[in-house]
Amino acid sequence: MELPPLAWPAYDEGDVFYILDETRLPEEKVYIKAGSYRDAALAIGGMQTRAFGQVLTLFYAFLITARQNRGGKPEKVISLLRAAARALEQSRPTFAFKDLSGKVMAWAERARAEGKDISSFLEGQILAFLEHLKGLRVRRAGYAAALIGSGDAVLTHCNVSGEMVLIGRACREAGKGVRFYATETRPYFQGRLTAWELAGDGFDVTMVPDSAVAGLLCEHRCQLVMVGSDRVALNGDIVNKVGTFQLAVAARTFGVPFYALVQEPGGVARGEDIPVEERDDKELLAYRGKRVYPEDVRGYYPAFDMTPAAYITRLITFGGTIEPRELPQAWQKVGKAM
Amino acid sequence: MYGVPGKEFHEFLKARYPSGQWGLWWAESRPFETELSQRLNAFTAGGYETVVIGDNMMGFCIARKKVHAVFVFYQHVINEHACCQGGGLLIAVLAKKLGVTCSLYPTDFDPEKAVVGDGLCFAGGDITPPGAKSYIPRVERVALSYFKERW
Repeated sequence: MELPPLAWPAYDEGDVFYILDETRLPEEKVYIKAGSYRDAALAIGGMQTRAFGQVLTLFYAFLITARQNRGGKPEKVISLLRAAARALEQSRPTFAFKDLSGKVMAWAERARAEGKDISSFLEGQILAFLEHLKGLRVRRAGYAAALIGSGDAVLTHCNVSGEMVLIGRACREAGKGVRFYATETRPYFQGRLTAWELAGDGFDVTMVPDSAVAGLLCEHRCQLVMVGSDRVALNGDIVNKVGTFQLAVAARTFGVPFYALVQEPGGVARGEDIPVEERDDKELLAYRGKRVYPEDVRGYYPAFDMTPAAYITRLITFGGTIEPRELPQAWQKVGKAM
Repeated sequence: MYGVPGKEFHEFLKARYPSGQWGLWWAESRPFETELSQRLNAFTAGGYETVVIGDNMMGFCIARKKVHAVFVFYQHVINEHACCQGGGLLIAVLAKKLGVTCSLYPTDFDPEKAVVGDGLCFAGGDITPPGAKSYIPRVERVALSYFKERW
């Protein structure tokens, strides 16, 4: 199956890897060459890659660090990997980079303990894990599609790295017609990417201003809301691109179900314990290098918000759909498959 | 603040919410951010700290108590509903659910007559990707019950 463009927005080539620059889409399909974990951290920090792209970027950064040090002394390789982990974890504060880099470091320590070449072992583990993750995402799209009725219109926010296309395809395979509304998602307009991907796959998609969601839901133009999430806490709260929370409030107000795609919850108990990144206001006040607002006006740009579990109808996990309160028990089963 | 303010709104603010004591946080009010931007100078010149947020940040800012009162600009009232720029319903819902006072203030800006592109535009350029459609609700009817005061 050919994946949508953003479902796998990076690829490796020997000791380097390439990251699809999402800030230049959909006008240009340009890849950034990353020759080190520092390049990877810069691409993540600069939002050139996001959502699943930053997951791939983290793993590929470790992969090339390993490849560049094949046959190296274990202490040196571990030290380099630790440096990579630190740089990647500090690239953006909200996403759980530490959980992912912890997984890689555990593999490295295991190789060292078992006397294996760390780089070779790590390469095998990373590539196998990414392949596994690809399968999990395709399966999760199937679970999401099962929540959509024939003829439904789905309202979504931001971009879930190709997964909305996979969900649409699963609906299509099941003989269900589906339409999409995508919020533009200021200031980077990630909704454009969602609309671009869906339109490119032949789906009926309409882009709307972020403020239009209450009207759409009030008029029942959309039958459900479905979003991704950057983090999920053990109590079922999610943290996602800013605007998700108000979408959930509007959905609850007008009686529309709200679903969220989630991944590994990690160890955070409540959504409010997850830090929300505040980014430079220039990213809001300017567009493509040109200031849009008067010079003496300032901006405020929180990149994420937290949606309490109480607003979420169901979470869509790698193991199926559940109520938010079921997350801790459900994850015990699914987590073993990771 | 949501919507494009009328030219006399600054005078109203001066009397009721003086600068130095109050700052003004403006949602971009897409797709009329250009019209909003042109009218912000009056407020910065009047000494107000003037902050712009994305329309998708309204819920966060209200929930985090960054703002303590909400104003929505409206064109007229019909059958107990205010005709506001598209997006007026969302901020009214958010203010009510999150416990912040929401008021209506009239504006001479008419979103139905304002010029917008064929698609969804930003900074003068169409941002709708090829093959996708766009939908811009210029006006929304919002029940007066959402508002504490109407000016």
